[in-house]
Amino acid sequence: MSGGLPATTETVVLADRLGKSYGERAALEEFDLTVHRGTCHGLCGPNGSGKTTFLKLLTGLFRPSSGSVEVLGLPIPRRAVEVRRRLGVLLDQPLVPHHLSLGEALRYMTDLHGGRIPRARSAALLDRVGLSWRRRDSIRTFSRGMAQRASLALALLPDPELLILDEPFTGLDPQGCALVEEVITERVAAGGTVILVTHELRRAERLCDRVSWLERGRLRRTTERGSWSAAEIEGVA
Amino acid sequence: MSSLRTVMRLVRWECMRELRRGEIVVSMILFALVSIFILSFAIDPGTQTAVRAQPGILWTVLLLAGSIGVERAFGRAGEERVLEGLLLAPVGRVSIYYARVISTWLFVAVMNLVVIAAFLVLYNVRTDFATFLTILGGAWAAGIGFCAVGVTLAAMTRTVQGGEILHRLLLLPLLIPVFKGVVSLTTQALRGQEIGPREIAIILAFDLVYLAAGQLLFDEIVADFEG
Amino acid sequence: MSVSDVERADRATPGLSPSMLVHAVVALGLIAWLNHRIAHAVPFSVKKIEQSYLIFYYHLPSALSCSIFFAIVLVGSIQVLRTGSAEWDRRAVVAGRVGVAACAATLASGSTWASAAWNTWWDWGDPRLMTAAIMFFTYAGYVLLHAQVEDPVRRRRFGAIYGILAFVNIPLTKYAIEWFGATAHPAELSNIATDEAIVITKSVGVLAFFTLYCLVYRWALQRERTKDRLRSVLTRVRAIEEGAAA
Repeated sequence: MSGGLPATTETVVLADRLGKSYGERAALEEFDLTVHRGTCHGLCGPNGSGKTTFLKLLTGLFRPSSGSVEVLGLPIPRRAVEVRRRLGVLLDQPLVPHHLSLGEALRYMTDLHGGRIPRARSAALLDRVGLSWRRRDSIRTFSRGMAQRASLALALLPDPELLILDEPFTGLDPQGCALVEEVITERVAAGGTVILVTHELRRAERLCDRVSWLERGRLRRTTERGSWSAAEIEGVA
Repeated sequence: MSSLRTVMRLVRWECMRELRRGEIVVSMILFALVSIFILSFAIDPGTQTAVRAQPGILWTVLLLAGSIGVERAFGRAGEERVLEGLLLAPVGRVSIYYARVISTWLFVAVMNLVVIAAFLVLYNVRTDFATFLTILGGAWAAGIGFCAVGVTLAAMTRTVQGGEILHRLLLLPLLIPVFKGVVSLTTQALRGQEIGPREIAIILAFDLVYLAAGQLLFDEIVADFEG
Repeated sequence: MSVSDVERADRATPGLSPSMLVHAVVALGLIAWLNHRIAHAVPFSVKKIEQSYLIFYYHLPSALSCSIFFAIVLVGSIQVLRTGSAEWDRRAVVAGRVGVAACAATLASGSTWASAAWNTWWDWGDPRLMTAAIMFFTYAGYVLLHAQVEDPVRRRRFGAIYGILAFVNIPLTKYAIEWFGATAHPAELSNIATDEAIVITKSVGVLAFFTLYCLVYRWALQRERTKDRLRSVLTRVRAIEEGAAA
């Protein structure tokens, strides 16, 4: 991404009446969402509101029961492999074999991306997340916060056009939280797109250009930055 | 072409883990050797009965030991989320499947090599190197289909409570055809006979059928992925 | 009836409840015992394999029925993978259960008859007997897998996948066993029993048993449908309750 691009109206995520049900129970219903390039979009809601289900549909881990979703202009899950080249995902733990050392984990991730990532990038990322000194230790030995930092490095490795962060602040110390916030702002400024999933509405309000509020599998409202009053945030958060 | 390279890269990472920890290969081999000793108490290896039963004993042991390896294809400690990571990576699902089949096959192949050699020595089978190679070749050939179907089933049972037992219950009946084939092949090899076309045909048919089925069905298995 | 009642009933019903299992074993045992008595009541002179046609009146129909039900499992499985249909999934798994029952009846009647006709309870070298036994284990695995996967969507899909693998296994097993073994079964069923009376009796036997199994099948299928409908109603009720509470 070349820096300094203004936020365009180019659509990165387009969900159209998206739905997913397990047998009788609907985890997500009639979900419409548009995310533009160069923005940070927040997905908020209580536990079980369908945030994770939406992420799984977005990344092609689930097949939709109804409706459709496109990422970077390509239909999911049919062309998910192409999309995943341009996608970085941070979940609750690093999704690599935990016996690997951090350095190896980055090489493993590079291999999954077809070996196209220069080694200097891994080193720079390790510096960035402050884990260079633990490069040789296996991920199994990491604390919750350190594992989260490692996940961040792995998610950023392919320099993704779309970065998906699922509860990135869990287990992080204040410096770690500041780091994540910095990364988000930086990528958005550089024309990248971020989807931030969190149950912390306050933080989402501060970081995201738009915030979608989910409840029991349905999209309740999508708002521009600053639409939620302090009292409202207090009420739901 | 690029997917072939990806498959080989994934296989290399799997092998690296195995070289470091030896978890699967070592447990398969130990299980097989213990079984051989237990069976020696059931059928005295010095008797004529044991000589006739040798192919059957060998293959029962290889089959049960191998089923330990394939069942673990997706479920090792500290790797519960690795499959999820692979599914989120820009790697085709067929590549993921083949990578697991190939790495599991390599582990099973090593186990076959060690166990067949140990069996021939322990049971004092007087035989030449060519016979050993024939039996091993049969094992390696049958191992392809064995891993193909075993990995397919492991991808399903990994999410089921008590999946280990279910995996074996589902796997063993499907192995009967190839089992018949390799036992017959081993019998012929030990008697110094030519290997019959039917033995080769059944092993190849088994390999092809289950590789094709696994490749087609794997995408369906992981379509709604639950960690 | 509350939601938890249904959940409890639901947990208890996917496979066999213990009391039903006892019921099935007793029924099977009685059939086997009766069969054994009948087999031994046949005068010694007709006990030769070529003439032991009495068994065809109920053993053969069970065997044929079980093949038909396993074929339904295959059709249902393919349909499930193509369309994700819940109805085909019910048809497939109920056919699997009835097929396993018919297969068990085939094995029990065959084994008890064999003890009189061939003087052995189990002929390990007989391809048809062995193929039937392997089929029994394969489809029992299918029924078990279907019962053990909790998520309904994956249960459907995994069941379908194994339903296909199980069917693929039949010809492979059949050829493997035939190639590497010999049979005690009469080679061609049509060679014996050409007498008109026997043919008619046999056909009526097939028809009678197949009709009976079909009745059980429809009955069980109806039960599955009712259960699923009940579950869907309760899910909706629960959603409304939760909505009201929130």
